[in-house]
Formats: sequence, C-alpha cells, structure tokens
Amino acid sequence: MTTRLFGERVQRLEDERLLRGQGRYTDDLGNGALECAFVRSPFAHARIHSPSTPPPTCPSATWTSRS
Amino acid sequence: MIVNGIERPEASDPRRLLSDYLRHDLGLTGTHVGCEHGVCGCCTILFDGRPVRSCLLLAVQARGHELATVEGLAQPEAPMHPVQQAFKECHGLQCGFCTPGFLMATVAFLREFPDPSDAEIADAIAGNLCRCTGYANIRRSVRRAAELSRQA
Repeated sequence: MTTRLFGERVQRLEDERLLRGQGRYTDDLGNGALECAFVRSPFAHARIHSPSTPPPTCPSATWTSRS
Repeated sequence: MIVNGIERPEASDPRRLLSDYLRHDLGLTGTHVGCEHGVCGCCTILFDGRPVRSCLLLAVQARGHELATVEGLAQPEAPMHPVQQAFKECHGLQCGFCTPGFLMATVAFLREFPDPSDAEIADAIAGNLCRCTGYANIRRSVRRAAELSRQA
C-alpha cells in the first residue's frame, strides 16, 4: 500500500473480523444487555397532559417527557 | 453434541432453536439469524458436515451430532481458512451479515465439488441471500476458494 489515495485499491480493515465470525452486530450484544422500547402516541397531533408510567419492574426504567 | 470440536451441554429448553442455542447459550454469535424461517441462509452451519439452516432445527435435534460454525473455520490467531481468505481477496462481503452462511455453504460445497463450474457455483449459493455486494463477487470468491483449497 502506498500513501497515494487516488486510483489505489484500499484494503478493507473490517473484513477479517467479519469473516471470522467476530463482527459485533446489535443482536450480538448478548445476555444482560438492556433493551429499550419507545412508546409513541397513537395521535398524530395532540397535547400530552399526564403521561403515566407502568409500575417499575426491576431493573427497567421508564422515561417520559417529564423526566 | 460437539460444536467446533468441543463437547457442549444440551439445551435446557426443548423449544430452543439451534440458532438461538448457538448464539445465546454458547455465545457463538458468528452464526447470524436473518429471516428465521429458512429463506436467507445466514444461519447456515455444518451438521455432520452437511450445510443446514440452524434456524429450522431445534437444539435438541443436534443431540449426538457434530456441528461446525464460522468460528470453527480458523483458530483466532491462525491464518484464515482458504474460503475466508478467498472472500477477503475478492471482496465477497460488504456488511458481512450474510457472510458466515455463505462461508459454511461454500465449505460444504467445495468438499463435494473441488473444481466447480460457474453453473455449479451459482447453484450452490442459491440458498443464501446477500443484500450488499450482489452475487458477482461472491461467485468469484467461491471460484477463488476452490483454487486456494486445491493448493492447500
């Protein structure tokens, strides 16, 4: 490899780990990874007066616009 | 069952898919789950040397059998397997998600067809989907893998 950029083949640095099965995709985070779910309004245009949160179940946390 | 040469305990849940067992219970996340219904080929592993969809098998069905996943193709510090090397040389991957399935399918294919024709190569990888590179480079990779394997 030279320091010339134009017209040079650039070796991909990521190939080896992907080929060895060592890539890290989101689903590979594995056991113990936290999960996140977004609850969106079913109304296209509305005012939020009082978001309610489900009872806390350890170790989850709920965040609303109030947080 | 034996996975990549190592004896492994049975899955605790009889409903466990083989693909989930490999990924979640054994931590072998090189085997990817794309469609989860046997269409995409990402989860292809070798089952007693034959390529199978691990998402269409239950882990308990592998009891007493020998499995190989992409992690078993080459030891971490050792040079890559000829098929892996060929995919690297020919740019046979982009994002790499489908790649483990292609690799395992190719390994099994070349054992049976060490000097394949273009038509045989196309047929061999027809069960694997790639959404990045298109198939030209992948076919080239398989051809190169055949060359490298014959030299090895």
